[in-house]
Amino acid sequence: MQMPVNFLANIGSLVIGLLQSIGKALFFMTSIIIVMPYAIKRFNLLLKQIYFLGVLSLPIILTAGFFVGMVLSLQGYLVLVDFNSEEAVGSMTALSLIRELGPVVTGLLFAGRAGSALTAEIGLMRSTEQISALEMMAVDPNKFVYAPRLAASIIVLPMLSMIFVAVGIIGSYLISVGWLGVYDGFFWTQMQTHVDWNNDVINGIIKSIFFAVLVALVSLFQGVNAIPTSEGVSRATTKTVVHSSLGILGLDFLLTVLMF
Amino acid sequence: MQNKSISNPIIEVKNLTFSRGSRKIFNNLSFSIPCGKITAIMGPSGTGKTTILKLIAGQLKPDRGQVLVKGLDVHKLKRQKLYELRRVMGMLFQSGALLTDLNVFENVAFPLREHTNLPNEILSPLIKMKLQAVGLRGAQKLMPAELSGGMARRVALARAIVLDPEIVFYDEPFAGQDPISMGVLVELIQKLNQSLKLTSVVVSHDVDEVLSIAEYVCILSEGKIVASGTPEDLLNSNSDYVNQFIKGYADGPVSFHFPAKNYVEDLKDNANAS
Repeated sequence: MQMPVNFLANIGSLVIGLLQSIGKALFFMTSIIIVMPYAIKRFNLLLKQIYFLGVLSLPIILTAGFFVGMVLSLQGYLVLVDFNSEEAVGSMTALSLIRELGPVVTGLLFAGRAGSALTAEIGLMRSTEQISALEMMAVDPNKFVYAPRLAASIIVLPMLSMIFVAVGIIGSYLISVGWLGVYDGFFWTQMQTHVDWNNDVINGIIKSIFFAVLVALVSLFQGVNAIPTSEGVSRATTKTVVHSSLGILGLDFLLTVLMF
Repeated sequence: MQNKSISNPIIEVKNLTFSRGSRKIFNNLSFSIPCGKITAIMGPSGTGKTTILKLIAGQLKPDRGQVLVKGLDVHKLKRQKLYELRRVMGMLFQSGALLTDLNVFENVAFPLREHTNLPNEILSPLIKMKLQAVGLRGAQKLMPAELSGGMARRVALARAIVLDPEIVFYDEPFAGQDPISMGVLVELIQKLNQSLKLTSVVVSHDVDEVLSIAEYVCILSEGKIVASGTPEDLLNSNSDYVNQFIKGYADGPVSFHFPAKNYVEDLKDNANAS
């Protein structure tokens, strides 16, 4: 009799724990979102975060975008050339970059480069009592620390994603036109006819806004709830990257189903 | 020695119970802190000295009981009212807790910039005066990472008093300081208390330093106030616990040994096993 009761009790406590953490996360999310206007009012705080999260992420985004674009067109060319339609390589690369790879890969890179840094920063601010000190100085950390970081992520990630796409297309052009000998008139006209502003570009941007909210909230939440020791902060950083990467992939599937 | 009634308390802790997980840190704790004096809360490590400061400042919520600061129940206040109350409280954290991305000047200026609209011409002399009071006017351009532990604590002290609070909390101000910085801090706490007419609450286990400046002392152990009074009262106390704590004996009511089974039995077990 004892065994099944224990088993049930364990399931119960797991579920309660899960619900509690979901509740905590939602509560945290709302408390930041309601003070978002403050982040825009304090423009210098926002600017600092835009630099830290956006400008400093540029090198990795540029490099990754360039290589992804080149590889896409190399692979695409090999398939398309069998059907004598290698001109379509331009539109193929552009569509895959704008709809999927731009937002998703940028989101993943952003989680690794900026999300982990955010978690570590907040975790250390907590362990060095900086957050407590802010509260004691009657400064709300939601307004001063978390909201500007969330706002900066929402501003920066769609831009990074578009930059990724643009650089990817340049990479693709260099490979297919410069190296593989695709006629460049076809390369651009195919792209122009097949890429639609509302369906493709806007949807891609909407995706990256969702990813930005996801990565920023996961990073901040993990930072705030990190155990304030070096081990705790390192664990929280890992969790940020894993959770936000999986979250991006799951959310991307959902959004793709709804959008296209 | 019982908790004597205090004529004009600024902080009153009433029947406070607080636990972390299943561990009860305070059980029905009550005490008061007199206005305008230096009060010390002392006790061995791990008795929740820092926790009591966080409870008084409303950063932690108790399971039961209340904390009155200037007659207001800290834990019943709305967020905005609580933040207003915190403007009359300053806290010096153990690590200093300076914002690492701002220099010394900006760290001290931070509370003023957040809460007032003072132009730089007024703000700058104010900050310089506070920094002068802690002897670090020359260090205003340094970043927190360039300061020694003692200097960081002095900058944090300047920041804690920049809004001219009525109460200042000191969390372990002497921990890990060399004799000179210790002397500086002892003197600063005393001088500031007198010149700014503050109520100071010092949480510490550095007996000599604390007894040299405190006017009222509470000794905390296992979630209760075990003794309180003036430093003289405590030095003349006949309680074994107070004597052990103040004189630092290795063994006494607080046992040297962590609870364990009988020593001889334990060794025999090992011998039998091998």
